[in-house]
Parts: sequence; C-alpha cells; structure tokens
Amino acid sequence: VRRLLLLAVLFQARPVQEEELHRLKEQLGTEDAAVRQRAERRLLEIGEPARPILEDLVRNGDVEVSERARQILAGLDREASRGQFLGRPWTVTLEDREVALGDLPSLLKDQIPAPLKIPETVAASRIRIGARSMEAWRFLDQVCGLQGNLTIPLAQPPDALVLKEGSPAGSPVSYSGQYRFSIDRITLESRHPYDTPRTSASMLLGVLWQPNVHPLNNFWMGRHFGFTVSELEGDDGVSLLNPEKEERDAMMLEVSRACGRRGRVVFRCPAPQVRKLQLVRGRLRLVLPAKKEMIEFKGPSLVEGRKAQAGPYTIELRTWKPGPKGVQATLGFWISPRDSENAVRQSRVELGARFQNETIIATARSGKQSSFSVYSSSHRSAGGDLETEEDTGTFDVEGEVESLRIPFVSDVFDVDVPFEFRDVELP
Amino acid sequence: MLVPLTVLSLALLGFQEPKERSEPGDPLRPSWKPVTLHVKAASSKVVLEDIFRQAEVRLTVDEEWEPKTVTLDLDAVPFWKAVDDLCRADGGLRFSGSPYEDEKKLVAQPWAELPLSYAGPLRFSVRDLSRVLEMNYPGRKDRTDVEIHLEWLPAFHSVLNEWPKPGVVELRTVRGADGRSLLPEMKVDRDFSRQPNGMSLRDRSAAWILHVQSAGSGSKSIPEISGVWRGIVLSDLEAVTFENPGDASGATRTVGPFRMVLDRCAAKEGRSASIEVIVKISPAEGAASPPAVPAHYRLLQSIEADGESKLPYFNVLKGDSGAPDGRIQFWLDKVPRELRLEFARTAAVVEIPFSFKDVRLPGAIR
Repeated sequence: VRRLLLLAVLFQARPVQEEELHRLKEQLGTEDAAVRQRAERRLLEIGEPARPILEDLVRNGDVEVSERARQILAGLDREASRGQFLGRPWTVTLEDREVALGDLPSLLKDQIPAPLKIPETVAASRIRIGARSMEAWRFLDQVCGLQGNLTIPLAQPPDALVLKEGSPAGSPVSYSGQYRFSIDRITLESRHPYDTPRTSASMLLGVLWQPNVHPLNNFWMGRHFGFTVSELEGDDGVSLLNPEKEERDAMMLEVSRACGRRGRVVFRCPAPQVRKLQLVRGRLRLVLPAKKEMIEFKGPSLVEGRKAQAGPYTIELRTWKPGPKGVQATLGFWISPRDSENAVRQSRVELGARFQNETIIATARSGKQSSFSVYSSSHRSAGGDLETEEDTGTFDVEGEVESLRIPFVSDVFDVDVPFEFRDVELP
Repeated sequence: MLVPLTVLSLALLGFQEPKERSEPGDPLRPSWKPVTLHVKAASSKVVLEDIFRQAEVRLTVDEEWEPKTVTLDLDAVPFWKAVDDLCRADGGLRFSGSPYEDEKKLVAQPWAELPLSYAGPLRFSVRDLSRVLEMNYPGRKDRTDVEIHLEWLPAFHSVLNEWPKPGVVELRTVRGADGRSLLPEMKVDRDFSRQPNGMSLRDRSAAWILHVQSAGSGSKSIPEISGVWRGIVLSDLEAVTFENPGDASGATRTVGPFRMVLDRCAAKEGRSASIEVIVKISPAEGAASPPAVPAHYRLLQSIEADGESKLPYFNVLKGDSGAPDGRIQFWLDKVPRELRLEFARTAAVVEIPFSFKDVRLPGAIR
C-alpha cells in the first residue's frame, strides 16, 4: 500500500469517472478477495474524490464493508498529511514558441508554483522552446542548454528554483518525478603510496528536489538518507561495483544544503579500454515527515518536570534556568515503552533528525523569538527497543518567556527514488 | 635577560649538508643533535640504539623486527637521515609515517625507497604521487597530486600558523620528464576522499597535497620536485608560572620583550564543568611593535596544570576589530594550584628548501 501511495504522488492519477467510483463501491463488498483488494488500491489511488463515497460506506455499509472503508479513509488521511511534506511532481506544458527568459516565471507560475528566479542579465534573452508534460527540472535544463550561458546550481534555496549565469555543466542527468539526479564528477586515480600500487574510481552523485519536497535532512540522518548504486557497468559489460556492500552506498556530503545533496560512490577502476559507463543504476533513500506536531510548554519557568506526548515520544522539560544573557533549557526525549513495536519502527531515524530548522522557539513578551541548536546523544536499553535521548541548548531570549514551542516530527515515512544513467563518458 | 627579537624572514639555505646547519644564528639548531657513526658489520639494533642515544630521540620499534648486520658511515647527520640510512641498510625496517598511529614508529616492513629530504629536525618525503584523470563537469581536471609529508622531532615546537598545519609548502620547480614545467599548481574542488590540501597531526607531522599539471601517461617519473617550507621556528624558551591562578587575576609576568597577564581562571557562566583560562600577551612597553611573529604564536602548545600537560591546543581570541588581539583561551577540568606556560622569547620566520630527484610515478590509468 505504501509503494502504491507513493506512486500516486509521483505520477498523476488517472481521471476519475462517477461510474468508476460506484463500481468500486460495489466491489468493496464482493466476496472475491482479489477484486476487493484491487478496488481498495484503486480507491486509495483516486484519493480525495473517493472520500464522499467512503464516508457514506462507513455510515451505511455493513460491518465488514464499513471497516474496509474506514481503513481506506485512514490511508487517505495519512496521505493528506504526507502531502504537506512530499508535494506532487511539477510538469510543464508550453506551446512551441519563442519566449523571453524574463517572461518564463509568469508563464509557468501555475505549473511551477514556486518562485522561478532567472538572472536579470539574461531576462531579455529569447529562446524557442516547447514542452508537453515535461518534468520541471528537465524543462529548466533545456532552458539552460538553449540559452547557452545559464546553469542550475546545486546550491538551491529552500523555497525557490534558481538558475544562474554560467556554462551549462553538461553533466549526465536523470529525472524522476520531483527529483533531478546528476553525475557531477568522475575521478580515476592511480597511486603507489609506499610502493603499493592501487587504482580507484569514484563519482559524485548529486540530487536536487523541488521545494515542495521536505525530507528529513540533517546531520543525524546517517544511513537513512543516501544513494545506493545497484548496477554499474563499463561498456565491456563488466560490473565495476566493489564487492563490499558498504561501498555501493554513497558517502553523503553537504548536509547543510536546502534542496539537494551530493554523495560520493567509490567503484573499481575500469580496464584501460573501457571508455564509457554503459549503465549506472540505483536509488535514493529519503525519509519524510508523516506528522509534525507542535509541542508547547506555557510559562516554562513554572513547569519544570512537565511532560508532553508527541506520537510515541514523551518529551520532558527537565530544567529551565534564566541566565544573565538568556535561558538554558534541558529537554529529555524518549519513546514510550508501552508501544514497543511502534517504538522500534519509529526509532529507525535518530531523534536528532526529527527537529526541523526552526527547532525550538521561545516566545517572549517583548515579541522577540530565538532558536537554538540541539545537541543529541542517544542510548538503547539492553533490550534494544527503548531509545532515550537528551537534548540541550541555550536560548538567547530577551524578556520574560511565555511559552516554549517545539516542532517535532513524530511519524515518518520512506521514499525510494530510482535513478539511471546510460553511456556516461569516462575521463 | 632580555633577548632582542632578531631573525625575521630569514631564508636558510644549504640545509642538505649538516655541517652548514651548525652556524650561529641557525634557528633550527637547538632542536636537534647530530649523529656520527662509523660501523662495519654491526648489529642494526645496536646501531639504532646508538642513533637514539646520540640524538636523544627514541622511536617505538616493532617487536617483530629481525635486525641484520649493517655497515654505515655517517658524519654529523640529522636524526632522520641516520634512521633512514640505517633502515635502508637493514632492509627490513622503515619509518611508518602513518598519520593514523599515536606514536612515531619504525615498522618491520621491507624498506621502500621514498624521495626524502632533510633539514635539521625536519624530514620531508613524497609519500605518494597520484595520476588523476577527472571529468569535473563541464571541464577536465587531469593532474598529478603530490603528497609531501613533514615530520619533526619533539624538540621542534610546531606553530600552527596556517591552522591546523604548521606553515606552508610552496613548490618552486616541478619538471616533467619531457623537460616542461608542471607548474603552476592547479586549483581543484574538494575531492571528498582525502583532505584536499593535506592534513596535520599538529604536534607530530603534517602533509600537504599539491595539485600540479598532468605528467602525461608516457612519463615514468618526475625528474625534479623542489620548493620551500615556510614556517615559524621558536627558541629561547622561558617557563612562566602562575600560582593559585584562581585567585591571581591580573597577575603579570614579563618574558623577553612581552608581558603576560593572567586575565581569568574561573568557571564560565553556563559551563560550570569547565574552567576557562584567558591569558593576555602583549609587547612590553618600549618593545619593537608590531613583532614579525605575533605574541600568540610564541606560546607553546604544551600547557601544564599541576605538573600535568592538560591541553595541548588553545584558542586565540579575536578583538573587536576581528584581528587576534593576543588573548589566548583554553579550558581545564578544575582550577589548578599551579599553571605553567612556556613562551618563546625569540621567533623567526624561516624558509627551508627541500628537493627530490626522479620521483617515480605510479602506473598510467589508461
């Protein structure tokens, strides 16, 4: 079901007809399990337009049908929540014509609903371009190629798509829904430290995502955020993957980037006669918030020791001490052991990764706000299914603090995005 | 006794020959003792012990080493040259030079001929030479990476003035097999596999990775790599002691042409577990100003609290203008009864040349 939900987000759903909805409603009650499951999947795929029929079934269907409808509605609710963090892929349809680059942002504002920033210096530059349901990233690459002195920088802001002046990189690219993958660099090296000859090869893989995608993306993500290359072949058909599994995974770099990351994949140096990588195939693993909750402690100086619940997590404000320049707070986070199965599932992603950029906000009567960094350490009990963590930080807030608000990701979901490159020239 | 600040921007030449290194005014001279040996068919273990004794330096030696008999003739050579010559003669021992070991170590491995160059307490080597073919879209960055290591003796006090490395290495000549120069150096992006400009172990060794033009796939070696290491050499050390520093804020000591003031030795607000120590160092009244080697580079990174080396590194605090203002900060676990600092009254900026011949290239990639 999860993969199907993702497919529904990645690709536009088929148009929905009234008669199809009624047919599916009937099929939910059939005794043929295969037909029933197909109907369930299709209703999830249809999404919001199916909601009225499902709600009607919950109220008026027999017990079994009502329960099935209730589960599909729960899936839709979950999907609606996830939609805040994983937006749909943007596509561009534009009749073939000559356009000034400066006009593109207004022409595309309904299709790319985020600011599209094009340098003023090339705004008057004209290109001839057309597109039909083309991925936004592919369209922008074509704009750069046609203009000749524009490029898509890897450092993108969190809320816009930016082009900048410069030679188009011409690097191999691969598009997948909201994502643009590129091979930014390929390095072949021959060394002999202490008379020990060795050769190695590596590539820098880059990914950019649309600003409507909000993966957990910080230092604590570890192996939950990264590229895995599953196939890598030279044009002689020989696999160049290192036999050790860990070396197929990229070392992820540049954690501070807003809408993109890079990773370095090491592979075996190809034979001298190999001129191209005929296939590079893999996937990007992402974890996205499914639910973000705002935990609030009002009058924090009065509530030391108070606890709040966010999903399976218990959050305790342990200390709150005013200092000469600000306030020092100690917060404790742990998973409630009463839901151990859920706790194991939830604890796959470190607690530190669950804080968003606006980690902690303290509101003062003066109206000033401040944020601070979180320092995490996590521990597992001997049983392995209980995680505790203590995070501390120092506020720098003027005035008396009225409330402490902590945006916290209490539920997450995974996304696997495939990528593929063919016929990549070797240096 | 006050010793005036003397040797500034001093270019020290001719360091290949040890006899020339003993000249008065040689800032490196106090940090090494020469080794003289004339032995025939002697146990290499005995010879090694003699080298350690003469140089007053000891390296850890691999227990698995099986010493051979060696014949050596060395006249007043630096410690590193004596050790390398012994290892070469023995054939089964070599200096590890691994940046991942905690101590300087001789390992029981077959001798591997490295390009080497010596200067008093310093040992330069080309530990690695890499042929790199790189597609860095939209262009190519084919090149040769030269990894130059610098080791030094414990008596040489490194100054990490190009943090975290001591000084800089500058290539002056890199001549390819066809006679063409492989300079100027190339600028490359981070390569993410090694520190792009080398690494530093701060108190033991440092390495610089320099990127020069591609040597060409047909070349077997680079006939000449030479350049200089430009760094700071400290001498005329003086110990400065503050007793009961927790109650001695404002205590002042004069060291050479400088004045040292204990500004603070107390817990910092909000960090009760750590004791913050701030020492202010400034030129004494009437001293030449500004000094060529700033005051904060003259404090050795070996601070002792109650006789124990507590923290080898410290921060240099910046003043309002953003420039270092001579205030040095470090942290201790507790307020000591005695705080001992070492300060160099004399400091020189030196240029030490190095040169390597016929540096062998690894096999071509394609």
